[in-house]
Amino acid sequence: MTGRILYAGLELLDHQLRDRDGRLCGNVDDLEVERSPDTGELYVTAIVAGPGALLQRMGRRRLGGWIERANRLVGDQGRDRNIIPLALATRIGPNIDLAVDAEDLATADTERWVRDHLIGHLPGNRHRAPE
Amino acid sequence: MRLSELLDRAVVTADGRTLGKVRDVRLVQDGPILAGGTQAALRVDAVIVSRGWRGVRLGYLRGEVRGPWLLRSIFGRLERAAQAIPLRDLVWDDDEPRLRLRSDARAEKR
Repeated sequence: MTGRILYAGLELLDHQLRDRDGRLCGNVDDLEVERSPDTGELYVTAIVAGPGALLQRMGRRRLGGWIERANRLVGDQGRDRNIIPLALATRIGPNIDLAVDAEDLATADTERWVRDHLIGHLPGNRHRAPE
Repeated sequence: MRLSELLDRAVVTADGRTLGKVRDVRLVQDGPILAGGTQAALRVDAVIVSRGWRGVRLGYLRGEVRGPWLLRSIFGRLERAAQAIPLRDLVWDDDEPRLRLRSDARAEKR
C-alpha cells in the first residue's frame, strides 16, 4: 500500500467543509462511492452534506430520503447540490477545503433564505457588522 | 451507493460465525488523479471490524497508542479486538444485510 491512508469514520465523516475563502460551509455527512468499471475497485466520488444525508446515516432513512428528494426537486435540473464531487476538494486535512463558494452549496440555502427574506427586510439592514 | 451503507453491517465468516460489525472504513489515496481536481482518488480498501465497543471510532485502531502504560493497556486491548478485512475478501450481496468473508480469506489483525 503506497498511498496516504485515511479512516473514513475517523478522519472524514463529520469533519468541517470550508469554501475557497475559508468560510465554514457544512460538514461531511456521508460519502458517495462508485465501482470503477476499469479496475472493479470502489472509489469515493463525492462528499455528501446536508441534513438528508445525515439523517440517513443515523438510520432515519425514510425522512432523510424525503429531504434529499425535495432538494433534488428544487435544485437545478434535478441536481442535488448537497453532493459535492471529490474533485472539488483541494485539501483533505482536519478540515476539507473546497474550490467552491459557500453560496453555491445547498448547505448555505437556509442562511441565504433568512438573509434575503427576513433580515433583508428589517429596518437598518444596511448596517454591516464589524469584522 | 453511500459509505454509510457499509457502516454497522455485521460481518460473518464463510461458515456463519460473527466477527463483529463494520466500525470504520479504510481508504487509500492511491487512485488516479480526479478529473478537474488535484487530489488522487480515494480507494475503499478495507473495513475495520470490531465486536465490542466503538473504540475504533475514537481512533484506537491503528496500533499507535504507546503510552502512558495505563492507556496503552486499556486501549491496546481495544486495538487488538479490531481487525481490518480487505474489501476483496468480502462477499457483498445487496439482498443480504451481512457481509460474508470468503472462505479462503484471512483477516488482517490490527
